[in-house]
Amino acid sequence: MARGGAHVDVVSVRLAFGDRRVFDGLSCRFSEARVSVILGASGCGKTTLLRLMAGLQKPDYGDVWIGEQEISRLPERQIMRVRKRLGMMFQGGALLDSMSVFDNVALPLREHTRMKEREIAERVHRQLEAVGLRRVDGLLPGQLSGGMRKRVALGRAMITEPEILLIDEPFSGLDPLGVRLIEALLVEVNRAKGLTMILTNHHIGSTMRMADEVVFLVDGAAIAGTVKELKSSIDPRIQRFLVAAGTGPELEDAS
Amino acid sequence: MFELVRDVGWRTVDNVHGLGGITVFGSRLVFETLVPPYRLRRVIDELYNTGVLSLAIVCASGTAVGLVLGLQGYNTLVRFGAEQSMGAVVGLSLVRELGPVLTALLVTGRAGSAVAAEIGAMVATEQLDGLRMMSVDPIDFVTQPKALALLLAMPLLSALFIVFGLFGGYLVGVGLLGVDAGTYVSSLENNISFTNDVLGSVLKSVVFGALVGLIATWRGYTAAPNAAGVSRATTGAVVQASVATLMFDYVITALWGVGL
Repeated sequence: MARGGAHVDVVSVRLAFGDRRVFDGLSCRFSEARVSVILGASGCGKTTLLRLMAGLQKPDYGDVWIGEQEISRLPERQIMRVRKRLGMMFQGGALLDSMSVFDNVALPLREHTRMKEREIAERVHRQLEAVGLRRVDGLLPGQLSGGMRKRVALGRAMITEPEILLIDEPFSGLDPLGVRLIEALLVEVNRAKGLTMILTNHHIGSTMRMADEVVFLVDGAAIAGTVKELKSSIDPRIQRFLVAAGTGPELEDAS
Repeated sequence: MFELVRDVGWRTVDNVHGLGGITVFGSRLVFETLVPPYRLRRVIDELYNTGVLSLAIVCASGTAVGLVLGLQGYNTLVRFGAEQSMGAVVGLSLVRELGPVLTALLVTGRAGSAVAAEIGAMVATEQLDGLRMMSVDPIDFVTQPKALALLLAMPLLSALFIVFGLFGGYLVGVGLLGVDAGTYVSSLENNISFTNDVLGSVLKSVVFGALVGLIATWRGYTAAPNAAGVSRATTGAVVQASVATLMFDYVITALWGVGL
């Protein structure tokens, strides 16, 4: 069973790429065992924020806490240890091209446990079934559809039962059925395992349905709240985004 | 004037930074090679990709170089009535210089470029970040087996290149130009010293293997995460590894020649 979630705190983070300032004193908290969605316009730093929490990007200034562990100044070797508490599903899946689906999902178990091959096979098949995949063991990532690749990536991210799952744009490039499928899967995982789930998302309908908390990135800072608080916000920047993103029946349905 | 000084300054800083980066990266490769886990299966796979798949091109090129050496060597030697030394000329040229150097250049073009492009593409598609998120070190898992395979494959390929080159020289000299077979072989045998020539050749190919492995994996590992970055990494790997091979060839020849 999963170990349950842990909270993540981002404190006064500043980050710039050359002349472009991405975060200017960004602070936000992602509560444990909740589904938190990071919203914002393209290029506002949603993926960068996920990478900060994963320790793949160092801030110029500020702290990033995974539970009680501050990671922004840790050397890579120590961050590796912290990452055992994290799972990450990348937007494109980030599956290893040269390895089969089975080997991709089995990799973390082979690297970090002393499990026998038979036990690994059982666990991998259970995990693949949990994400709705069967008889895909021998396929290479290049032979999978976009949705299947995302599901394999989700299975791989969860195989070590992390406390925190970071998910980058899980619905991009999926048809409406695919969106519903992945959405149901994520909600089920969150409820069943109690892990902290932090995802970036452009898809406003699914955000409204799934999110316990929303962090809205704007002008290098964060505005956090529940879906209800976000929708009733009088901040014109949030209102503009919601109207632009959710015009029409989708937002109405979601609400 | 000020801008020129500033540009030169920045370039110098960049180069020193790059040199520091590749030195640290190289030390990491050595460290990961020496300490467990030993990824034998992955090294064997990479040996197949870099070594076995380079066999055809190395053997064909070795034969062609031997044929040309035979022709050129004979035409020069015959002017001095020294055509009986043809085996020595072909053999020494191949063992001391052409074998290790040309093999390194061929392997750089075929396998080094592929290694840089593959690792660069893995950077661009976040596969290395994916490994980091599984707490798997990409230097240990991806780059070290490739670099080690290049290091191990190079002396073997160089030996094959030399053997096929000698065969090419024999074909031209004995088969085409009428040099006596026994004279060709005995000239070869009497003039090539194991300690001076063969060991020097092995040393060169090992150093070139290490250089090509280091530069190809480094360029791929530090590629910008986009198509242009992968392309630059591939081209850079081929150019830098080729230039480094030629420069180190001079250094080793000079040091080996004075008995260091």
